[in-house]
Amino acid sequence: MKTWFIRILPRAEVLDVQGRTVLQMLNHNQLPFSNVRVGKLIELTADQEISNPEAVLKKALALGLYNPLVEVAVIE
Amino acid sequence: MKIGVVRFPGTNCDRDVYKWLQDQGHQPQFYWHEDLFSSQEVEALVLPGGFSFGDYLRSGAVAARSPIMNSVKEVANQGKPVLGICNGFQILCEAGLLPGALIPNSGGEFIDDWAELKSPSTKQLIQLPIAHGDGRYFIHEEDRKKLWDQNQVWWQYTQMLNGSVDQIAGVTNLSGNVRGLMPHPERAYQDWMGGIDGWKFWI
Repeated sequence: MKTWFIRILPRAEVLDVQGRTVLQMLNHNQLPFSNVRVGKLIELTADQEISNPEAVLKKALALGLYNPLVEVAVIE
Repeated sequence: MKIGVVRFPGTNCDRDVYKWLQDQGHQPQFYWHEDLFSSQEVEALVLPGGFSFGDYLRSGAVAARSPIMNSVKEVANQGKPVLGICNGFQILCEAGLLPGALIPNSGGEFIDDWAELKSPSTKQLIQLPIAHGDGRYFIHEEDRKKLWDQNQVWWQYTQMLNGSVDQIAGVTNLSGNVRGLMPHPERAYQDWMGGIDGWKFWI
């Protein structure tokens, strides 16, 4: 069994409303952060052996796990 | 006109759209997201609003990859009219049938109100209800210019409501047969609804 993670964040040029709200909350509590981006982490597990996981993960991304117009995705 | 109304789990404006079409003399027919149908069965399609698949991943993302979208694309490719309203608009963008994406409103709040819209081509002004949390139309700068050059901006809000690029409320594909908009014409076609600008709005 093997597990992979895909980290997805809003693109830098896209206003991240959630990130802005979380930043305000942190600043209101005297935490000195200057930027917050809120995204998502997708965990994928396969019970069977995958010989070329990178290609399969890229295929999953291309299928719609992220929208390249507004998001960036990193396989971890 | 025989018009298909496509339903996904979480669609909630399907009955309203059905009645809206029926009252205008059309023959609506429901289709389920797992269906595949022949494009010959319909003369047009509507993808109604709602929260398909709970807006998981992104609004419209899962629905855009449903089996029925193969039939929707076939209908669109034949040049027949396809309309996406609200979540239907989000689905058509996610499916690549319309340019751009709909992302969370810049104010971070769900907006439930009436909006004034302007047609860039005819300058016509109308009023329709809006109800969305992810209604901010986004498109990259180079594609934004193309959108205007190719007359693909269908409706604009007359006021900035949700942070949409150029206050865009609706767009069309290049050939003009596929259209999407965030406001709800099916909620404004009788006097008692508060407005009638949704009557004969589309076809």
